[in-house]
Amino acid sequence: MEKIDSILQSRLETRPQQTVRLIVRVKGDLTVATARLAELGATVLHSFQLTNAVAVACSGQTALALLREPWVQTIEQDRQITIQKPSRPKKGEQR
Amino acid sequence: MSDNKINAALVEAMAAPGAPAEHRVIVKYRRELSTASRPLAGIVRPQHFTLIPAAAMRASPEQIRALASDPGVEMVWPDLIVHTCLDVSVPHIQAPQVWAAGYTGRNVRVAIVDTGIDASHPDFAGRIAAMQDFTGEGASDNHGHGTHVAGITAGAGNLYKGVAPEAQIYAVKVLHGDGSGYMSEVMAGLEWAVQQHVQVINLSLGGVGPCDGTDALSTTCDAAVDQGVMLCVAAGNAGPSVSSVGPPGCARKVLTVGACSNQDAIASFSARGPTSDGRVKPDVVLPGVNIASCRAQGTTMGTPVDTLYTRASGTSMATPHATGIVALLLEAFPTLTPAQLKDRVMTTAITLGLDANTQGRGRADAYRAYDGTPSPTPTPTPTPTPTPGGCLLSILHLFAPGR
Repeated sequence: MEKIDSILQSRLETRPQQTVRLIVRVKGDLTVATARLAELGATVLHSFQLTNAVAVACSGQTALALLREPWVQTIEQDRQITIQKPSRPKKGEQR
Repeated sequence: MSDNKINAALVEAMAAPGAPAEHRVIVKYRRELSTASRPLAGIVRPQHFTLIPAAAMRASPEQIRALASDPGVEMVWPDLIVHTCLDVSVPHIQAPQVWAAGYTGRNVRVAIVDTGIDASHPDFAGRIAAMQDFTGEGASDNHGHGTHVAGITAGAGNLYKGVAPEAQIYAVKVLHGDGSGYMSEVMAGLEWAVQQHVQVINLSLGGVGPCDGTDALSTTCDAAVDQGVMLCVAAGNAGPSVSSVGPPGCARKVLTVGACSNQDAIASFSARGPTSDGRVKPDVVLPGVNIASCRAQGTTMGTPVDTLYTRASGTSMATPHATGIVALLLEAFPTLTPAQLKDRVMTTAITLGLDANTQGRGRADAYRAYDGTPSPTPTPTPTPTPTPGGCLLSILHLFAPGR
């Protein structure tokens, strides 16, 4: 499995200064990884025991540097989630 | 001739023994007739409509016949009672039959991971076990969605009673007042709910599809199931496009829920499978069209019924019906695992005769799930409609596990 989706990687390369929200899945000790992330300049937002992962905010440049860390398993975008919002039913679906 | 203009159900109602002296009717006029020249009869506060040339009124059978004989009148319909729907959908899925057997979800721990909850709503009185906020806005519901969802699962109103009206509610706010948030906030809410030892989690939320279930949120959902927690997840409202289920609806171990009407017609907006790795989704469908449930104080989500209730549609509204069914099952059969619960809800669903990637195994039913009545007929073989870029999905689907 690739560490990062190619579309996300090229976006980070194009805008290295832009702050992004990411979810980093980690091999090994989560506490150690959290400390190392902070050292690299990432702001740790949440850490997750269930999946051994960390949510961070960092620059694109920092995100690309994370790819070189051996304890980083995968990096993905912290995507937006919404309510499955009330939609207007079509005519004939009123009840 | 004029009798032909009277709707058959109205003719029958007028002729029935003990029929009332007056009937509520809707009279449709010829379009060219001005409002002022419309014939009216026996009127009590007539209401004129603009989308169709019609008016509502009360009239005696004689007056109805006189109206029907007027050349300006095209049709006379009965003005039927339209039920506001939690009182329809909950009986439709036979939840009251499970209550009659002695199971109301009493003390089952249910987490609603959403926009929070209005804890002051009387239909949740004494049953909110805990509230937690991951948005920084405070745990109260400033959108309305979470309160509506919670009411469908566990509201205890007289008219608008939820599926499991005695369940314990854990309200987890992960979405902001605008109804959105990040995957990581939802993941944090899920971890918190698991730490509280809840038994079932409702997720009426999601991202844009398609997906293959390997994203962080879907993976977290599967990990929560591995911890023994059942998850019911909305398929999404991006239907009827093929492969429109978004994360975490594509997670492997959750029960993914699409929407149908109270007449078991699939909702056009209900997201369709397969997942991008070719698995069938949704797993079941449940009512999610015009569902009336609890309204959070000061919010305007949906179409308000009154100060305490509002009506809304979406797979968001279908999913908490499933969560309620699971709560009933967990009270009746507390040792069932998430996999067994999912299997029980799916194998007892009533097929609607549609493609599996539209209906899953069919419309789930609380009493059949409780009773263990298996589905009478097998679900038809799914055949996804090819779409641009959809051929690979179709091929993957043919080789999907379990086929």
